[in-house]
Amino acid sequence: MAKNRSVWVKIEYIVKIITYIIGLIGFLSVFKHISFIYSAIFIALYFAAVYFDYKKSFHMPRWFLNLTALAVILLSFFRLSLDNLVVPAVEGLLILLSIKFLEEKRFRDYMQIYLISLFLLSGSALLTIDIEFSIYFLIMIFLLTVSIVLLTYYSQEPDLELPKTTILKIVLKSLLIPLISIPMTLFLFIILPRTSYPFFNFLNRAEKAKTGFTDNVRLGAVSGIQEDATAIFRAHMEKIDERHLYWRGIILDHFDGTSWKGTEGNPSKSPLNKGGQRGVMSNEMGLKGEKVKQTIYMEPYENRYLFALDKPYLITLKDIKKYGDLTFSLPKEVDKRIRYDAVSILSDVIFEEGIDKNKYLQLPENISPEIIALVKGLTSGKEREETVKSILTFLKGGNYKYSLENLPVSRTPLDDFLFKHKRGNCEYFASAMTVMLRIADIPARLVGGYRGGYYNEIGKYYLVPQKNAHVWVEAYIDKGWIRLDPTPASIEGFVSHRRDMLFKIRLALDTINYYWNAFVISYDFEKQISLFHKIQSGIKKPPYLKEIKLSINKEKLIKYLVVSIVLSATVFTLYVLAFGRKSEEERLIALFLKRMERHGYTKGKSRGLEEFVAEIREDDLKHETYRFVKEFEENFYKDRRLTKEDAKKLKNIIKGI
Amino acid sequence: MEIRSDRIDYIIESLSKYLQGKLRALRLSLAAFFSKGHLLIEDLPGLGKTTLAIGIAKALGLSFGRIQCTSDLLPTDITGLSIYNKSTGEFEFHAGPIFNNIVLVDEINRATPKTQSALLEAMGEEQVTIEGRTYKLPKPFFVIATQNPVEHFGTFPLPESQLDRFIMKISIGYPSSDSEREILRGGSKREELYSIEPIMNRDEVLQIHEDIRGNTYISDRILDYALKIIEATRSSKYLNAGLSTRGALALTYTAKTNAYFHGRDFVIPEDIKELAEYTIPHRVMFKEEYENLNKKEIIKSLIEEIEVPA
Repeated sequence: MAKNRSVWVKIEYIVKIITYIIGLIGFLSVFKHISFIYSAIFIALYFAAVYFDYKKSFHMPRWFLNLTALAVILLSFFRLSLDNLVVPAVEGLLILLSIKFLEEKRFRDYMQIYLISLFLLSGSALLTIDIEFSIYFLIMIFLLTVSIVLLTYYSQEPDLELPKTTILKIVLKSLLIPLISIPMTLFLFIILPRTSYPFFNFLNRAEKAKTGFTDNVRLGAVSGIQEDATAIFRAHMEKIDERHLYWRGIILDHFDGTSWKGTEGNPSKSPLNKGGQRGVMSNEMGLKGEKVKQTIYMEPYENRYLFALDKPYLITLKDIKKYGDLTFSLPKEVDKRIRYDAVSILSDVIFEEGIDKNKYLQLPENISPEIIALVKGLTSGKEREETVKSILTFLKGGNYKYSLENLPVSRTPLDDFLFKHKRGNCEYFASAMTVMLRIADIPARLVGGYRGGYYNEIGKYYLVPQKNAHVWVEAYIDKGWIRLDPTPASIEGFVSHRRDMLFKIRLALDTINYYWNAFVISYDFEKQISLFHKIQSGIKKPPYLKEIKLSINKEKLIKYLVVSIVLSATVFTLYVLAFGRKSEEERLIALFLKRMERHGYTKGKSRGLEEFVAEIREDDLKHETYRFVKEFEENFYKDRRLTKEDAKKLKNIIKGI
Repeated sequence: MEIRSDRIDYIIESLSKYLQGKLRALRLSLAAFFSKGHLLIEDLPGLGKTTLAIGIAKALGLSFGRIQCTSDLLPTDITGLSIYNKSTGEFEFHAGPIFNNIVLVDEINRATPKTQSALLEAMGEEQVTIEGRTYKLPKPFFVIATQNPVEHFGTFPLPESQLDRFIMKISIGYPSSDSEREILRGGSKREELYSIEPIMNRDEVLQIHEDIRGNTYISDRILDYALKIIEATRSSKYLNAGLSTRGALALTYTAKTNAYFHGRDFVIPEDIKELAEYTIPHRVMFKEEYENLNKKEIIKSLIEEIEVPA
């Protein structure tokens, strides 16, 4: 062989080195988050693997490693819980990775190592995302590309050697692949249907949705919401009169001069039914009017209140709490997309007796005398209903303009609104009205929610965007709460009669979102997890204790699961035993013949090896091939199983051919 | 087991100066001999069959007998007979030429069927029974029979069933002109051949026999390969009848010998392939329309269809 050995490099070595680096990056990316013992195990096994690979002396038997891996997977499975999903998974993966390194690596083993490393990196992204992640990510992407390209060569010819310059060319060209793919990725990112909410957020509770609705209204502080056109929820229902499109969310009854809050006592207004019951019903409110059913697909936001058409009396969802003021909440924030059914009655009045008048007549301490004087002037000597009307007319009459810009933000926003700027958003109008009603000794409260929405004829649902967030007033007159909306231009602002093409298209496109959401929400990950838990407890507890009464289906499920795990493990082991070894000779001979083809000699199927060798004209080549054939036949035709040394020796001969 | 393939090579080399241009035939004859079979040489007269037989016998240090077949040859002319001895008053058995290690039966197709079958029976049983007494033939026992393919008058061609008893059928062919010139220059070397020193002795020959039959490994892979060949002959469109089981045994026995000759203690596919044209054609029956084709080529093409184990 007239090769200049010094500049020829074996592909296998490069692939191995890159593979070890990739594994290391996977490890480094999660290193900070996992327990020390797992890191220690990984490092020990990793270096053992490096050593064995370097020495080429020893490989753990596959069946042993596979069984260990199975045990690790089972262990990790028992450690999983909804609160602690990522870390055990990552730790389990890490051990699997180190086991993979110990194996004698073939093409698929390399690919598995890459996959596990990538999983580890993604796992680290679930734990934290910082600048390190992007560095690891970039390195890994480039290394993976190079390695997979080289691996393709390797799989064709495990003993392939290439000159350094060729390898460098391959590496450089493969580096181009991720670079070219970045613009492609951006393109795909834009055209693919997007979820506005990250799929796997449930894995990562530290991150919260940012936009939305708050349980206190600070005047002028959150005007940003009203510019936000993203959807807060979609309500699947029949189309109704726009007048009724008030989506009730929260009651705010305490005003401190600048912001509104639900008082401490508010939720304690004794939930009518005990919480946690599916479907909270109330008919003692004496609601009268048209019943409207809605199925609401709600986007996650940073609070726990659920919205439904005013006035809702039933919302069907697990763990829901209903309050006396017809608001509904979950025990925790709506941190993922949810779906619930609501029934509302389009009633004008909520009848309620024995309300806490003090609470609904509360005024801020620094209420200015000007406002009191204003109210007195408007209402002196009038009946209750007259008073309400005159205040409503005063605010809606045209003196005050609806505006989202240049809102008065100060320590006394109401005074600024009423006497100085005379412009504001719904919060100002509703706050002013509530305060004025209270001054006039009429109990009143703020209702937070959404107004209006766009009806999508295709999907038969109302799309309610964030910017439709709205606040209105409820006043207590004659033993009932009556809805009052002092904000002018409300219907125009929230319902929008725009009928231009662009808007129609956007609305039509939203149908896709709607169906996508409906589809995604029906896949409830939490349900899967709870099923897992049932299986876990089913396995942990001996069944004869009869403590757990699993239904037949679940018992069957466990049986199937166990049987299928055992079965697949057996099949896998048998496969490895039966085919993993037998193919050794076949692989060698295939390798040999491939090598010979490069020299221009192809063996016919009916030609014996010696006949084949006898045809070779070049003496050197003939000699070397004859050496291989002799050695090979000595084992093959004497039915000897190839030992590692024999296989290695034969491979070396092939390499020399 | 010590493989003494070098000894075989030495025999061939030593005899080569007496048997110019007959090396291949010599090698094949030795293969038949060490496979414990019998050899049929189909050739024209005067191409050195007798010389070949004598050479083998002398080199192996074995006794040699010759039977020239004619139509009036009687079985007892081959086996021998008991003759009354006047002085002792008893019948004495006078062994025929078949009681030798190596027997050349010249022009076997000239003998009558009765004589032929006596001979073939002796070949198969390695013993002869005369007047109720059974006499064992010497070991090793090797028959080289010849027949003339051209002359048909007054001959009794061996039927296929009898041909099957020969492990191989070969022909010597004309020597190359170089070899022939040598022969012409030096004259017949038959006389010299009688006086050469034996290279092996009987014990060594028997040991080699034993090694080949008993200690040469034949893998299941090879047996599968052989079975495929047998199956191919049985289902071939050229043939009326394929290989018999005896024929199949001939394949493996000769393959073992061939492996031994090549210095191996295990059989490879080439061992079978190499000898197939000598072991198969005389055992199978060709369909009439193919009788005139080159039978060796047909068999070769059959084998070329069969995949080797590696």
